[in-house]
Amino acid sequence: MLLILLVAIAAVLISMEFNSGGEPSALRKGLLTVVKPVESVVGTVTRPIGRFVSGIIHAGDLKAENELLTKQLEQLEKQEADAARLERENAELRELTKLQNAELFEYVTARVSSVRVTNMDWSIDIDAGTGNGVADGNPVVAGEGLVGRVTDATSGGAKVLLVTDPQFSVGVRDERTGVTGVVTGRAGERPTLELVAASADVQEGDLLTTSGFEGSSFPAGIPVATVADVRTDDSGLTLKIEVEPFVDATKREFVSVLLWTPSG
Amino acid sequence: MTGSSAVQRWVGVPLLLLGALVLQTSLFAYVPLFGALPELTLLVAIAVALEEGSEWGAGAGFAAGLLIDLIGALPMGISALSYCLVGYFVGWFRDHLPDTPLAPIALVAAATAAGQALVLLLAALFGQGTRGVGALTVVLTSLYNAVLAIVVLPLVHVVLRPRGST
Repeated sequence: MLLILLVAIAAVLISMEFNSGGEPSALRKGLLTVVKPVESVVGTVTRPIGRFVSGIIHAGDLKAENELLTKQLEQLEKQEADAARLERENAELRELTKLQNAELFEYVTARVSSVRVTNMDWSIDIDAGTGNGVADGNPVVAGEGLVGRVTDATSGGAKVLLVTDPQFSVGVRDERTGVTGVVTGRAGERPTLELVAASADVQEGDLLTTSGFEGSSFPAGIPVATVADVRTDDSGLTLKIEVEPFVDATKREFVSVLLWTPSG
Repeated sequence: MTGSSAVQRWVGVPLLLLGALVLQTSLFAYVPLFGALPELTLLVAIAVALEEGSEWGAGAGFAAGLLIDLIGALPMGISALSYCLVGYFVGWFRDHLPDTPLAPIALVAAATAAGQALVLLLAALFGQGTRGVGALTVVLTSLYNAVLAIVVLPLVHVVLRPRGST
């Protein structure tokens, strides 16, 4: 019977995905290569309509956002003046220590071609793929903060697993105290931070950046999140820490893919 | 009740599903209802099941789920399996529906909730985390689909049964 046949096919598909050990299976990539172009061509026409409708619905939010951004801009202009001074200082110091600028990576800028498509989806699609040098595992950033990690790169596009996805985790370091831990996505809720040492010094507002240990999935020093809430659990032994991701990827139109893959 | 021709089905159903996918990713993904997105491809699969019965419902559900799995981040097959079962049972239920215009709409809401619950259950079983979708989101998505059904059900009917045959 048809139903049994289809259920069996689905079961085979699921098991194939799991046997490929977390890597996207060849079948998935093949199908994506076929489906994705169709979706993106038609989407070129319909997407502006979507953004337009969304704009009308959220007109009120936009006004508030505008005010907030104006305020932030003023702040940033002040900070920029400070930064220019610090940069000069930094350049001089660098000269002194003969430190090479090792933190720069090659990157490609990509347009976000679709935001998360269903309630259970915590990924976005971008329009840069293997044709642009993008590979599975590349870190994705926007506005200097971590967005996620490339999965399912095909020739014309790629999927980016967001920091908020339950399958996503990243090793981080507290910039203030140097304490290390792991940030794990929790979908609709704020990601959590689990510390390597139980009784470590972490406070609300602390900035967390990628730790970049040997064999890590990300280079060191990319801002990931700020600590939003620290509580001790009922036993009073371990800390329960929630963090706020640095970038809200679903509101970005462009992101940068770092052409960097984990070594080893 | 004259059934639609084979050509109408084999051309109409894939076109409807692809159309739903494109609208889902490029239009409705930007228009959440209190944070919940509709499941347009599932809705079309349910509509096909209501028109054509269990076999086509299961097939359309499978195809709809496969497309969603491909575009989304879930392992392939999870939505396909869930929506396939939903399509099959909607096709079975259609012969037992009370003869009121509201009955199909209510069935859409119930079937959408069942489809989402199945996906969540399977995702949890396969260690994909809870996906952060609570009961409220499932209810809102079902309502969203029920509202869209007012337009989608007649549309699917027209595509699969043109020339005014009922």
